[in-house]
Amino acid sequence: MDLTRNSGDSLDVPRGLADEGKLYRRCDPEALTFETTADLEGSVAFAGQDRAAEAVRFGIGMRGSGFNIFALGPDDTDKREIVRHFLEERAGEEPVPEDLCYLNNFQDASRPKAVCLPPGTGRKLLGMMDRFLEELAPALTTVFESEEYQSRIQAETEQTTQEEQEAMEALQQETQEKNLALLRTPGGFVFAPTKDGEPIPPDALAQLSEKDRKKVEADIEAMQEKLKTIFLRLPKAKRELRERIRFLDRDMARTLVKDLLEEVRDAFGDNKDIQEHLDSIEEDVADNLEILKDVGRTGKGQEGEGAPLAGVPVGLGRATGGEAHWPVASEHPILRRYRVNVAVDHGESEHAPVVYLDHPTYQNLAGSVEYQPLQGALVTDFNLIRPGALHRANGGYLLLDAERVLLQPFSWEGLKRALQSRELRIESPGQMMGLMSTVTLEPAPVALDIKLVLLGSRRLFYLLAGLEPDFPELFKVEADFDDRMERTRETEELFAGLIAGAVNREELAPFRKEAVAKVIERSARMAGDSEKLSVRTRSILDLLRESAHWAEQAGADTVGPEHVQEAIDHSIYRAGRLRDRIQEEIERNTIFIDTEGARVGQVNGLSVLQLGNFAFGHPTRITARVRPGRGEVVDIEREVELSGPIHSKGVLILAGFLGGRYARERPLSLSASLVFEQSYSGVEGDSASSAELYALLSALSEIPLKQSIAVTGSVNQHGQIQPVGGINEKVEGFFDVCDRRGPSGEQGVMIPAANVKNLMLRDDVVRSILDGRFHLWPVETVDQGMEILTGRTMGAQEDGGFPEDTVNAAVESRLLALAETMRRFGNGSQETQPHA
Amino acid sequence: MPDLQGGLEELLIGTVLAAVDGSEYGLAALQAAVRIAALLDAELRVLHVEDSDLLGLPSVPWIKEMDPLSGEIRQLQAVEVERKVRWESTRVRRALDRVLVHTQLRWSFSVTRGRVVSELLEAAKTADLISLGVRRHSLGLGPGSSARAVIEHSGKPVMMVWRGARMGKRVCVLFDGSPEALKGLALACRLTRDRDSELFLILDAPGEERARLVEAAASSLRSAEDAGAEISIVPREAAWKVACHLRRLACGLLVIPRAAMQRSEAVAAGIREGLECPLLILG
Repeated sequence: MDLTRNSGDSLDVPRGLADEGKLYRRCDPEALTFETTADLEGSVAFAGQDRAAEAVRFGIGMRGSGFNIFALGPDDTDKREIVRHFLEERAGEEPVPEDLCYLNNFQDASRPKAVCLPPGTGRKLLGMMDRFLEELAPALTTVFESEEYQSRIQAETEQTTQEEQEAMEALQQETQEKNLALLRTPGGFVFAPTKDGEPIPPDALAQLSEKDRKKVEADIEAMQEKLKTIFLRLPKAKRELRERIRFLDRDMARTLVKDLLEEVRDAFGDNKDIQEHLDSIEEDVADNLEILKDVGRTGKGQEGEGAPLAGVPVGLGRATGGEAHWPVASEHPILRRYRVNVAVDHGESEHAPVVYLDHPTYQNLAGSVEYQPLQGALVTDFNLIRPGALHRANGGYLLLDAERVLLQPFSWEGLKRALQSRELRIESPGQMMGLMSTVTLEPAPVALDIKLVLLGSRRLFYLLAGLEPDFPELFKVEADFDDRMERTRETEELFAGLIAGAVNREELAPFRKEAVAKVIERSARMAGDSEKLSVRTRSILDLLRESAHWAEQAGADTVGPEHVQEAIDHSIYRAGRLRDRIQEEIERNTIFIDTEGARVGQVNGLSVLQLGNFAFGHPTRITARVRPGRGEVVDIEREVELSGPIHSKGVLILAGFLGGRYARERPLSLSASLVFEQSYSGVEGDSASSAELYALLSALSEIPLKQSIAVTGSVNQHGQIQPVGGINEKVEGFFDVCDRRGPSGEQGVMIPAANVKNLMLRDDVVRSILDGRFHLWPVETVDQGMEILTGRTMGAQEDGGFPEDTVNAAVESRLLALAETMRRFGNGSQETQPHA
Repeated sequence: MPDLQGGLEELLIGTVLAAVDGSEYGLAALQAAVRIAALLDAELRVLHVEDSDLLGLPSVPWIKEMDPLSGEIRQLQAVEVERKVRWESTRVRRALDRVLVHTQLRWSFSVTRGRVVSELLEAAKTADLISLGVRRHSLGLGPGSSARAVIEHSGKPVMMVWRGARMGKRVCVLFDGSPEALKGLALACRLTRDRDSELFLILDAPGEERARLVEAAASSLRSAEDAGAEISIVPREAAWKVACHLRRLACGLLVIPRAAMQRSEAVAAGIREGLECPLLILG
């Protein structure tokens, strides 16, 4: 420690830390082996992530069940890019998975079939089937209007018609021979007697003789029987004719479809599923021949002719009102069922897929079945099945943000179900919840072979590991991404490569090596440690972009250190409104902070405020008062519930220190109160516990503390000063207050000695310290700190007491007086003593 | 061969008679008659005959009605027959109101009671064209006896209309070069003139006569102003081909000489069974 002290009871202010290398560790541009980042190829941002990289490599390589990866760590470490890099590297060596097609299930349209085909052949099948659909209806029309067909139908029809006609002609002939006529009535037929071929009028009929009447009656009865026989035989004959024509039609249709599908059969000869599907199409065409013939003739269907799909008669794409027109023949509802829905097409893929899904809703993840409105109802078919990311990534890798998955209803459960069953099922959440009453589909499940990588924070990982029973079984590989790395000459060079990679990817102007050095220094400051580098690449990337922006504004071809500094300054300025307001109020004495003179029981503590990504420090007045009591130290912040548990713990440690040093043999008969003055919000952390102890010792000894010095550091029961966070912000916060008021040359900050390695101070602060206008005192013990703050020696214990005129002696004397007061007032039952 | 202009003069149609009963095909005949009368600027006379023979039959107890669907034989009830006949008159009247509401036609409606064929033939004497509703598959015998009697004895063009048949803008003429065919061509020219209508000729002749027919038709058409038609050649034997062709053309009215109908019953049946539009028979 660079502390010096004069001999004697009264101390001068020591010089403090004045080594530039310890105040701000620079990166030497000359040590970098390039001139600008254009000279470097650049690297992927996984420098410093050896542990995580190893875990990811392991996870990718392990093919066993449940060896999925959870990449945990801070969000801005570019986990995704690093993981994606490894995945793509591995996927590049793996084969392209099969295409996935959905086909109509002719036995049950609500359960479409899923068929896997070699990569690229899905679209081939689609193309072939589309050609088939274009040809089918016109070909049917041509065949069924052909001379051969018509001749056969005519022959069949004529046979039946001739039989009917002969029967009727015979009947007519006999009717005429018997002087009768067959007349049509509103409800049927009657036989009426005729004369000269004309019906005899009813009044003339009434005058027929009994004999004639009976003869006519008998003739009519006989003819009625014959007509009845013909009537009863006619429907049967017509039915038989229809049946014969139907068989003929089916035969011709089958032959035609077989011919049209021959090319498809040959191309997919070894695929049993496709062959069976083609068989079904042949049968279905034969079953729906009349509709198809109509489509071929007019290119449109008739109302209500759509054969049902999924239990619903569909006319998807039908225009409202009037006749339905189908711009594309294959869009006709009867033809849609023969189409192919290529859900996953790997025709253009060269290797296994790597898919990142940034909006993992259940539908985007597991696929969905869409609907189309039709006459007020929602209808669907297998053509409306949409694949999810799991389908697209099947046979490869899928990256997901864990938090986003958990925030989406059903997504986590769906993902787990798929991983556990190793099957992909498309289910509608609305259907699961009973919110939809329309008919939906249940597509056949697909085997799932996927490596899943979840990206998330550490907190989320540990929460899932602790609370989700299935999590450990499904995510056995933990890739823990660090947010900082060791800072050495070698890692600085590595980091420069990382910067060059980012600059090249973002197509920014090249950074000169001095600018790169500045970025590296800034990275150390972001890490809060001169011996570490932050690998929070997103923040670094923002700095690079902003620096390039300022370089461009200045018309520079390359980015220099001045542009990096400008970017840093501007980002601090943009975020620094509250910091400036606090500084301003301190300068205007609205917030009471003394930076000169000395006060009893009062010290300048230092706090850090974190607002988003911006943190800044500022001084806070801490005061202490004592009186006789039972040895408790009252933390006013805690009493009003404005302090967190760590702060309260720090205060309670103070009583331990006091008891251990001054009241080993007798009770500690004081009551002390500590307060952060003008603090109206919560206080957390124990970094002010040393400052509170200094204020308490000052109040007890009644020795004033120098207000020109601000203090940070936590303390343990033995009086050792322990390191704290935010050291740079705290030093700069007090420096700014002093700088606004005009530096006196005596001001400075007392920091834990263990925090010296964390120093990466602002340039103006470093210059002031080196010029002696501001000071930095690293301390290891409370005694060192009290001596700096009071200018008096603490005094070591000798023969059970402390030397006179030392701080410790003054404290002990006061504690004895308080104990005597307590004794006189009878075991401390009355607490009416005046405050010290 | 008479020229086209002569045919036109012979077929001046000033009165269209629609013989209508309450059946679906009767009402279709009414609609077709309204349309053709409007196109030819003719007067429409609608006639409904209440069949006196039918009304008198219930008075003869031994004449019984037979239901064609069930084969049941039942007694004719005078009240029932009267009610049905009246109801048919009402239906015709209502249909008339419906179809005439937006036309400027000169029209009249009369209901007579008598023997159907006699009444129709009597009324046909003062008409130039008769529109008749007919049952399509009437026991495989073609038009019923009343319709056949009108076609054979009226000597006037008769338009047969089936249930569901609607008169459209495309008029086809089955052309065999006969005087009736020329009259039909002339009438078709008139029906398609000044409209966004189309006229088609279907040549019905053996191979060696077709060239002559084409020339005759072309010559006749040249003499008519603004006449233009597509000419299709169809072998007369292939009745189904005529039917297919008409369906493909979306034929709205087929004009055919009676002789062509009589030449082959197969042709007639093929046309009738495949036809979805009215059929106008000439000669």
